Amino acid sequence: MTDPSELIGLALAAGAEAADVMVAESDETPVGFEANRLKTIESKNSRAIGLRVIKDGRLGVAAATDMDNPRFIVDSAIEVSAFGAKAAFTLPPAVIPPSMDLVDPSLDDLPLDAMVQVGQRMIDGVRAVNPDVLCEAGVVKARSRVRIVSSTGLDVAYDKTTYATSVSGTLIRGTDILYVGEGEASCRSFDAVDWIIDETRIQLERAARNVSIRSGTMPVLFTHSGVAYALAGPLLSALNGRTVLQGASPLVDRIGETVADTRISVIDDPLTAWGPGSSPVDDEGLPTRRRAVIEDGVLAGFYYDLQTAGLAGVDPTGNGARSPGTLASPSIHALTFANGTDSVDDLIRDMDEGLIVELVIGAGQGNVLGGDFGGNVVLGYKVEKGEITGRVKDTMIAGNVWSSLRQVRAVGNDGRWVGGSFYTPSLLLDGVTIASKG
Amino acid sequence: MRDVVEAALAGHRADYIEIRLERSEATRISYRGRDLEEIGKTASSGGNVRALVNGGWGFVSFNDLGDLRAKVATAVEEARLAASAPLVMAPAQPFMDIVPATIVKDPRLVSLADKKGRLDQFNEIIWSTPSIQSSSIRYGDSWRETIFASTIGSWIQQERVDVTANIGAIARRGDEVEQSMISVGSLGDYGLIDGLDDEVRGVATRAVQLLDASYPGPGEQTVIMDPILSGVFVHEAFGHLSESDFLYENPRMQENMVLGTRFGQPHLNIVDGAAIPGLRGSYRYDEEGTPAQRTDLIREGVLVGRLHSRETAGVMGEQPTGNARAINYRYPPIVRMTNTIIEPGTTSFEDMLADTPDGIYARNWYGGTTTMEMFTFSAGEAYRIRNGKVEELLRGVVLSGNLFSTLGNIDAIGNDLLMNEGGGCGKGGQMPLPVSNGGPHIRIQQCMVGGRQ
Repeated sequence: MTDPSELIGLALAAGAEAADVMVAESDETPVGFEANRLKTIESKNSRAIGLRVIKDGRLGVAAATDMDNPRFIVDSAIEVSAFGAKAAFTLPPAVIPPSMDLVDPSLDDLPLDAMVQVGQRMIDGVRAVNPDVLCEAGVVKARSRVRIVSSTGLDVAYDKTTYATSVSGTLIRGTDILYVGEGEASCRSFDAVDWIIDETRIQLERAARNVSIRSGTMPVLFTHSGVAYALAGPLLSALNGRTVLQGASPLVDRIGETVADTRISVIDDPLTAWGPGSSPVDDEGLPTRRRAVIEDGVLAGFYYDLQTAGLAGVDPTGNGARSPGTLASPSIHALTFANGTDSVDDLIRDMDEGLIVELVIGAGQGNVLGGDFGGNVVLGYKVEKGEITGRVKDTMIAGNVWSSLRQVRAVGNDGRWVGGSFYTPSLLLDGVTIASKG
Repeated sequence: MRDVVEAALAGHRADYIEIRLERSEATRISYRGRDLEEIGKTASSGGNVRALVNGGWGFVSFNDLGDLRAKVATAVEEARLAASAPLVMAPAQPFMDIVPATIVKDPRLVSLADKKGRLDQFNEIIWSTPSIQSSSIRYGDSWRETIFASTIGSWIQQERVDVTANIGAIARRGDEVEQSMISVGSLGDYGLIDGLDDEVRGVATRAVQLLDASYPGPGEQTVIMDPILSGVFVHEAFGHLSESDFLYENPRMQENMVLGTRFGQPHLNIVDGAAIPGLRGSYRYDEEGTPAQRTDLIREGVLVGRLHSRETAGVMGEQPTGNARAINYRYPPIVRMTNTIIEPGTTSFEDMLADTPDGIYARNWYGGTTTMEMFTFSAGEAYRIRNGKVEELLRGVVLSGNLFSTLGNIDAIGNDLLMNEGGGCGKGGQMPLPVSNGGPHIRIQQCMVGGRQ
């Protein structure tokens, strides 16, 4: 079993000025349900070791899953470095990261029976609401370890456990397909079954009838998943330090300027206890911290890995993500929107005419770089005179994040996590175009 | 190795067990901006065991190939825990075969210096175009060897070499940013990279032109799609619906997919198959050891077939089609497309165009998704058609529709054919799976076009 220090020693002996190693291992146990019943139990073990070198000032990287083949890794990393990008950073020094709540030992002992019961409860609960819903469900536990060792004396490692439960159902009437479902994820054990069933029940009730909606503009309420599916992509693209460095972000040179409504504040939060997106260090060994990217509508910062920060001439931000076989690139840990003050029930009651968007497909297929969002509304509801009248079909939305985030009618007080690494309240926005077949 | 594997499979109490072993190596080169950004090499090895007991599946995946018998025992135990009722998979014949990679020009024999040199040239083409803000190039090649063994008695070794490139240009003027890109791929042919200069030039030019393009305005349009986009269309708007794992335990959905149902006009013919040779989705055996074939899905507008794994075929009383695929050893096989094609018809593109008073001509592709009822995909470039003529460039053209009605709205099928081999399909967390899709020019009435006003 190759020790990271051995790889580093071999790399330095081969002429590298600096080198670091990432070791990533994980064990995952997914329990899967299909067609309303238990179907598959899996155990997945994976590991890889990767070496990043700086030789003659240039970057190379190589990785293997075989922990006993240091020659391949060192020779490959050195070989590719001859063609690599000039390094614009030096490896960070040793650090002692804070300990964080990321491991729940009870998950290691969580028996398969218990996981099976959770899945069956979710399915039985949804089918008690409507027995015609055909359900899939997943209950997954995992444990992972990341270790980063460098020639500058850095040696950090942290473990993380994760637990996730989700159910998704399809209700088919003729060729009309309705997808409903909900899920939750955390680094520690939880019981969200009742909440998941309840959220799914609400979707089934709201979508009980299909209704038509006119084409044109009207206020659009993006729920948590709506914000995640439709708006996150263009937002993250524009804040990505690499996109900014390329000059391809609409936010270039705008730090300190107003880019959104004053009620919009967005923070990258790697430190939430038990958050699946949390970590004490980034994948380059830099300590992580909470950073504002948008503060009361004003652009506060971008997110960088070491190389991008070096090229941009800015301080690194601890946002380097990589896998053993890749160099680092900028990545948000956990995007969190500040909670607002408006009750979503009140917002709906005050809507004379509007659309609620839960799920869209095709959101990433427009001009994401330019901030455009859009797509086909897979789950969305029409609001008329303060009431949800039913589900819309054959309806597309389109807009631009940098226009719509300046046309905020309200920010909900219902902030919550979506999928473990995105926190947002509902957002009621103007400036969204609706196209519907009727 | 073979005796170890076969010994590990023997003597367990399960209805069926498979072992898959895999080795692969890959090279990746990327540019984001003026200079090369990243170059790296990876080697991966590992395997998995899949076991079936009374309708329950156990699956174990690993990098450490030691103690294979214990891993099989674990998979069998998991299957037993997941068991509910007997599942009869479609019968399979055992095969013993060694399939070498299809290679036209081996990327492993091209030096890194040459690869970088070529990509430098592409980057230079982009950067020498005025108003270009940045470039984005991703190149990858890989070699993979898999071994498949099962309790039916199969032992199949297959090798595969893959080449992909994704080349994009970003143009900027003031606050406006636009991007244009191409995605290309091949089975075992580095020569794909040799011939791309004109296309790369086109990507750069188009990115700049998009800055001045108008938006189509939302609404229903007549759309003529080029062969590449019609490939993405058939993949999203019908291909996924043909994957029987969405159907086989879903009686209501099966009512919508009864063989013999009319989906389109008599000029429409759609096939999928890995047995069509030399394409990005081609192979000799699928991941369950079923020989690849060519499956008719739509013949003369009528549904005549679907894509199966042994499990879905068994449950539905149909024949396996060789469409069980896994992206790598970390995942079990599921039903996937391979090479999906709308067969050419008889109308020339010129006639199709001349016959279109008003609409959109859409080419190339940017991305696509489906929900089995609705599909969405976007055009890499699009133009307004007026009075039978292609006019101004449009941007932000996202097309959407209903799977069950859109095929019937195809009212013209071209007499040409091109394949899009740059696609990486995503399903069940397994992406990007190499696929190809293509067809002739086609014209669709009442296609929903999204977009800003």
